[in-house]
Amino acid sequence: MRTFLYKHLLLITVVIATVCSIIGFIYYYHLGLIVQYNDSASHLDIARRIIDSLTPSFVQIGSTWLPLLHILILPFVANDFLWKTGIAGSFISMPSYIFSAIGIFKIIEDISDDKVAAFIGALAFILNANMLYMQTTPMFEPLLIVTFIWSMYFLLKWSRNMQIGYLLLTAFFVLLATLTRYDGWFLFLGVVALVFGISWQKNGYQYAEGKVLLFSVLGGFGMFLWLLYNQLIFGSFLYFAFNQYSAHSQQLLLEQMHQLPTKHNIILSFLIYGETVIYNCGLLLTILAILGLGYVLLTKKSNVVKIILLALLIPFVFNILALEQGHSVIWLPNLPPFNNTFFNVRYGILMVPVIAIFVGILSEKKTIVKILVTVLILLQGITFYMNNSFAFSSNNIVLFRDSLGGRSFVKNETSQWIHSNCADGLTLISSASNEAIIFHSGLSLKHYITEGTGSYWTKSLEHPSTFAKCIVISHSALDGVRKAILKNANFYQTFAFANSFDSLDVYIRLDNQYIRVTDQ
Amino acid sequence: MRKKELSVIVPVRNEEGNIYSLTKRIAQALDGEGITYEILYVDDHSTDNTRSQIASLSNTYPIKLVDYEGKPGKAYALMHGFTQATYSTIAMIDGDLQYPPEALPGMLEKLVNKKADIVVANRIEANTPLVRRVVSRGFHLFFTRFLHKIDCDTQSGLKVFRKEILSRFSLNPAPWAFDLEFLIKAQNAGYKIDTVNIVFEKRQSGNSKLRVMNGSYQIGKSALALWIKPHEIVPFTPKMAKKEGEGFHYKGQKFVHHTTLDVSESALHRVTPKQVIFLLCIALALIIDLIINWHATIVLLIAVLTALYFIDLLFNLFLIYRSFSKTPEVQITDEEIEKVQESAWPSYTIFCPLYKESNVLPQFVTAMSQLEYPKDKLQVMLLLEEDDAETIKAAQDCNLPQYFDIVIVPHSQPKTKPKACNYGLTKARGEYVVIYDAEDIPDPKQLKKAVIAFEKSGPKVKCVQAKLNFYNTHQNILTRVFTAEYSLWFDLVLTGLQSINAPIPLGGTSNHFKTQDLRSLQGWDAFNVTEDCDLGMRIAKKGFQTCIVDSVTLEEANSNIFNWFRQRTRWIKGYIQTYLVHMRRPGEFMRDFKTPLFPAFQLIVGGKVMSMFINPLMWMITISYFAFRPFIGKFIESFYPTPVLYMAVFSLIFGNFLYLYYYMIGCAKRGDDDLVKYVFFVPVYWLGMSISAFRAASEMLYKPHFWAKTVHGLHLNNEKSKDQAEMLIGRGLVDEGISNAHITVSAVYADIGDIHH
Repeated sequence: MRTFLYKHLLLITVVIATVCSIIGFIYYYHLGLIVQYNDSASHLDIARRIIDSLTPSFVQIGSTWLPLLHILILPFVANDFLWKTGIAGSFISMPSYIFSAIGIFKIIEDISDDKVAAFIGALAFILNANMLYMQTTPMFEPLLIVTFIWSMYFLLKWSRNMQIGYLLLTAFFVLLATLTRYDGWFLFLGVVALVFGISWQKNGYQYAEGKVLLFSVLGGFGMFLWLLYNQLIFGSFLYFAFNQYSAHSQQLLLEQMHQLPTKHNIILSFLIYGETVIYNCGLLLTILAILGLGYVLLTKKSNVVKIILLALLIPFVFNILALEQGHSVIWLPNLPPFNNTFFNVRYGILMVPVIAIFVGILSEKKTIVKILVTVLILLQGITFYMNNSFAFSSNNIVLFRDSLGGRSFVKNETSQWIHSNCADGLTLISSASNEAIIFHSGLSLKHYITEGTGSYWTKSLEHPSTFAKCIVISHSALDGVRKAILKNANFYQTFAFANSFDSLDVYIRLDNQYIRVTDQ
Repeated sequence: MRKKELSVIVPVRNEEGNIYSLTKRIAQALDGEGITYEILYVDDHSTDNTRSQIASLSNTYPIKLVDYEGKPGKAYALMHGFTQATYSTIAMIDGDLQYPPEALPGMLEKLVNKKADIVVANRIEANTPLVRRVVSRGFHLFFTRFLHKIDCDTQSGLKVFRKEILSRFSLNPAPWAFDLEFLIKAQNAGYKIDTVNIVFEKRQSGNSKLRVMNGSYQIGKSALALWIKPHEIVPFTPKMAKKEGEGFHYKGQKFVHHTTLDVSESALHRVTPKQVIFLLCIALALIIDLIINWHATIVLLIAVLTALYFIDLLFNLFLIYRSFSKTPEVQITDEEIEKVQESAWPSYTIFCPLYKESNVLPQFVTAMSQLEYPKDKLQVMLLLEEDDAETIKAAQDCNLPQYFDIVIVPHSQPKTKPKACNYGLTKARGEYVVIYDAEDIPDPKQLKKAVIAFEKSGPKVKCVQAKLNFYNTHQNILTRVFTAEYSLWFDLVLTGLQSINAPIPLGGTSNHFKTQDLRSLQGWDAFNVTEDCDLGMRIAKKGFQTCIVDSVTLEEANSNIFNWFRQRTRWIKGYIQTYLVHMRRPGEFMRDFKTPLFPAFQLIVGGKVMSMFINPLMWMITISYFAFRPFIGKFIESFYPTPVLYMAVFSLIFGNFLYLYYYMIGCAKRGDDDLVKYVFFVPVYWLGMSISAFRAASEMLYKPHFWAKTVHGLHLNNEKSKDQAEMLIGRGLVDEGISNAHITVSAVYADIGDIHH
């Protein structure tokens, strides 16, 4: 029986991951939390717009966010129910979660040759409460994690026997990562360096050159395509980085408002990201992982294995550097800028699999260590649902709080109002600022004139009464509609103020000369 | 010189008044020349005393009365008479004494002296009615000279010819149309027609049986029917085949291809009539559709092409995956080789066709001497063309080892490598056989590996193909990219094809066979300029397989761009030929529904060729779209409905990327890491292939069997390449022991007979 269980530990891991995934999904679906994040709504709508929009086409993918998640959920968002409930995204995130668990198992097994240690490490990942929640949502992180983990796994396999097939698989998963989030671009650079180093050590420069090219051409193809796409569609290779809706623009505004304290402050960046990791992974497991890292450095003979395991820290390094350069922002209540809110704390979830791997490796060989680690994992898992300091927070799965930062009561009210009053016509609204409103209105996206609707948008900004029945104007300076309306002298002759919802005003046109739209 | 003997066939109907004079004149003409003869009168339903006249003369002259009771008509009577002829030459002469029998000796003389095979007496019509003369002249000009390029008096009733001609083809003439059909078919069968002039006398006795209009109608109809009907293939007689080798005549030309492969399976004809009809129907349908709705038609065409591209992309991805996930090639270890006793190895014949390649001969001889195979079991056949005096002399001057045979391939059409190999196959003594090109350097263990590969693979495998690559990889950019291409093809694509039991286009060299199997497969198609690809398809169609063995033959990569163009044009032309030949009976690919022979064939051969034609067009559309988008963007978009657009964009981006990337994978798999960066030149290479494809298409029209000889030995002029090649193979390219000396060759074959020195 023991032998049977040992032999089938991977299968058991898969079963447990699947069961947890499904239970997690059912739980959070019933709580209505799958589309809690504003970004969730955005991802769903970006994919949906390809087929449901005033100007449906592939370029609705847009530019700021990388496209892989949107492409993958496209077949599912075609179904109204799956789209509106957000389950379309779960269809991608849940398998990503399960395959990540498998990848973690395989990495630990390869390094420690100990299936039980691999199982323990995978368990650390599976039972992470934040991960269990995140895997139900249509967000980037689960997809990024699975591509990251499997790229690391195949890199490890390749480093052992230098078989080209493994290198190609590494490149393939890095390619997927580079099309998921910009962290993947940093991962690409890191892996290029590793491939070069490992190859050169094995067989000299020519060999390394060939392997680096073989890896880079496939691994970097996604980035090349993205740059080309930006050039061909938007007129600039770097449009994604510097357009008005980009993170860069957002960060500039935050900096002006002194809300970017990590810029040029490496210590604060380290502290904030470190704490973010602890919030996501739990203090106990973070400590165990640090011990596991030390164990690896001290006991593992192969330098290549050590280097690859250190490569698992690429997301950690990337996020700190991003904070330090001002390309990223994370807010924690107890650290500058002391906003008393959580924002982008989910970035720390990328370290959950890394911590799981080091925890697993730590538990190799010695049974007593295995038992101890397993108990701590279970304890850590439980504490996420309790009000105590082991989870390093009070009464949270931190990502709830993170997601709540975006979703507000106000936006729900606005969505309902639009649904009730504007359903027979078009609504002019900036999706960059108000995607959640659009999503939760329950209307087809054909009802909305947004930035991606081409001439509908440009003509409406010049002459608001051309198409729209309703107009939503945010108080935010970034709102494209606001900027145009403020310059329009005739606006108030054709539209009347209808309602105000905290930071949003809604206008409705005075006459009946608007384009009718029905949901058919 | 031939014997002077003659069977004179005289068809008669109611010619009682002419029999005696005719017989006497024939006898006088032939007796005087010492000609052995017989006169066969074929009585075609006479109602007068013709028969009794003939009978009365039979005691005095060598006459036979041949009874003929079949369908009345001169042609039928003649043909019946021919069957009764005793001698090897036949004369036919009308029984109306309008043709001078005195001309017979002179006509026979031409045959005997081998100046002609058929001699026709051209009538100089002194007393012929004007109407008959005009009609006759008009007929001759149009129906004979214009339609059939025969410049003699076809309707002349006096002809002398060799009897064996009648056994070469079948005749089915109308009563008055024997002559034309006979001469047309004889000319097609390669026989020479000569003429003598005679005076066509006025009829002295009896009545003409020819009704001018009826006869003209029959002759004209026959001429047109023969013109429309495709020319026949006229195989050699067994005697001819024994003397010259298997072959045939066609359109008057002699082809000796040394194989019994049926012409319907060869590339002699570009297309069959059915294929022509099919293509014409497609073209017509296209034209009609374009007229009715040109836009929708173009949309449909683009959709079809895009779908084909997409399928090809997925197929190649699948092949590459299979190549990696399985290890399809047969691996042979040194231990397996060592287990076999030296004496147990079977005899092996190696074909090396050479043509104007004396400069690489020493390298080839060295390479063969390096083979780790018992030399007493080897027969290395240098197949040299009869007109290649330079290479023959070089071979004779070489200090060739005992196991070399110099085989002189008699000059004949088609002048191709497969023809030479077929010739060699008739003389092969080995149980196994392989082809190497003159510049090849095979893995020394390859023969042993091939033998074991056959054992391991089972009876279905009829060919073991070694991988090919190059030893002058680093000579220039062209050789580098060429190497990348070969690595992709042999290390990835062919192994992938093997893994799914798809038909494998063989490489032009290093194909190993059991000799008996190769003979059963009837060797190579001498008319196909990629005979290797064709044979690979035939192997698959017959339900057999080819396997790839993990052994490499190094060749010389083309380092000269013009040489490369010539070679690539030939290869593409050969693929076009192969595709058209094997699409004559596509059902043969579908005998076994488990293995995907037919779709694989379409993609591997047809798709590969089509893509070279379509690529430039697609690229032009893409570049035009982006370069001139404000002007023609919408117009181009109108041809791409959404599903087609996405498939096209996917194929454009991912297809081109993957096809390029495969080259990189091929290089890396082979260990040529320094070549990976040169793969970025491949798009230029593709452009070159497309140019070659158009050239190949044009050659298909004007010279389908033309074999553009690839110049070899260019690496020998490049010291760096030589050094690199020697470093790669671990020894010198040429053994300095091979120098000018008297030959010690075991046999030199010339013509069909063996001449031993």
